[in-house]
Amino acid sequence: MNEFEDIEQLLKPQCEFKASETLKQEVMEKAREEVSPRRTIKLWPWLAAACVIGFIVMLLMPPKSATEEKTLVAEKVEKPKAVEEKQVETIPEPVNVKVETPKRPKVKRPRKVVKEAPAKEPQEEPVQMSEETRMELLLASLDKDVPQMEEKDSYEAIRQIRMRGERLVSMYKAIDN
Amino acid sequence: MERETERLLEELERIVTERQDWLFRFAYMRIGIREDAEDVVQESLLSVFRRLREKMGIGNVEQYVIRAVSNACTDYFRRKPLRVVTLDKAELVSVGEADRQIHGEFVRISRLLETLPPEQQEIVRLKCYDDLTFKQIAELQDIPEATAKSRYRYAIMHLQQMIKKKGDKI
Repeated sequence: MNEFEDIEQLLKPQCEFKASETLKQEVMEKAREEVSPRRTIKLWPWLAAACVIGFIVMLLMPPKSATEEKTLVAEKVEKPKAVEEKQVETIPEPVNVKVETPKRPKVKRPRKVVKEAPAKEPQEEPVQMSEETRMELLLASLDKDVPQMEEKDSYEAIRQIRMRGERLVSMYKAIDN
Repeated sequence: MERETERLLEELERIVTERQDWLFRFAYMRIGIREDAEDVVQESLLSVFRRLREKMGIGNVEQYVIRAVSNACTDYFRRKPLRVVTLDKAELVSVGEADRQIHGEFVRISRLLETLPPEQQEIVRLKCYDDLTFKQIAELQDIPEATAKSRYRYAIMHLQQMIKKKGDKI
C-alpha cells in the first residue's frame, strides 16, 4: 500500500505553473469586445447607406446610348455657334475693306479721267461742250452712286458725298487748268 | 441587460483569476508548448463566457471549464498533428529560462506514463496531477465512476511493476 502512495506522490506536481500575466487581460478584453456591439452597429449603417447610394446612382444614371445622343446634340449646337462667330467676325472685315476701297477710286479715278487716253477724247469734247452740259454729266454720275450709298451707314454716306464733292472740285480745277 | 452582462463579466473575471494557473497547467501537461497552451485556455474561457451569455444551461461552471479545456486539447491534437511534441523530441523544444522547470516537469510525467495506454494515462493525469475526484473524472470522460477507478488502479499497478523492474536492473 505504501508503494501505491509513493507512486501517487511521484505523479504529483513538483513545481508551480504560472500562466502569463497577459492571459487574464487578453481574455477579459476579448470578452468585452464580444459584449460591446458598438463595432457591428457602427459598421452596418454605413455599409447599408453605401449600398443604397450605389443603387440610387445606378437607377438615376442615364443609359449609355442616351449620353452618346446628348453629346451629339451638343456638337450640333456647337458647330452653328462657331459658324455664327465666324460670320460675325467676317462682317467687320468687309466693312474695313469697303472703307478703304473708296479711297482708291478717290485717287485713281481723277487720274484716269485726267491721264488716260479715252478721257482725253472726252476732254476735247467738253471743250466744245458748254458748262451746263458738263455739270449735268457730273450730277448724273453722282446720282448713279446714290442708291449704293443709301444702303450704308449715314456716316459713311456723308463721308462718301464729301469725298465726291472734293473729287468734283478737283475735276473742275483740272478742267479749268 | 447591461447589468446582466456586467455580472457575467465579473463571473468570468473570477474564474480566470482563480483558475487560470490550474487551467494553464492542465493544458501545458498535455500540449507541452506555452503559447499553444495559453491559446487553448483563452479560447476555452471565451467559449464558456459565450455559453453563459447565451444562457445555455451550465450546471457546474468550474466542471464545464475543465471539460472545455480538455476538449480544446483533444481538438488541438486533431487540428495540429504536426506540432505535437513527441517524447523523443520533447527535450529539444526551445523554452525560456522561466519555462525550463515546467517543461522538465512535462517531460518527467510524460516519460513515466509513456508505457500506459492513452485512456489510463489521461485518468492518472486527472487524478494525480490535476487532483480531480473519481466522480469528476467519470463526468469528464463520460465513463462510469467504477471504470475510472479500475483504470486508475491498473495504471498504478503497471507503474509499480515497471519501477520494480527498473530497480532490479539497476
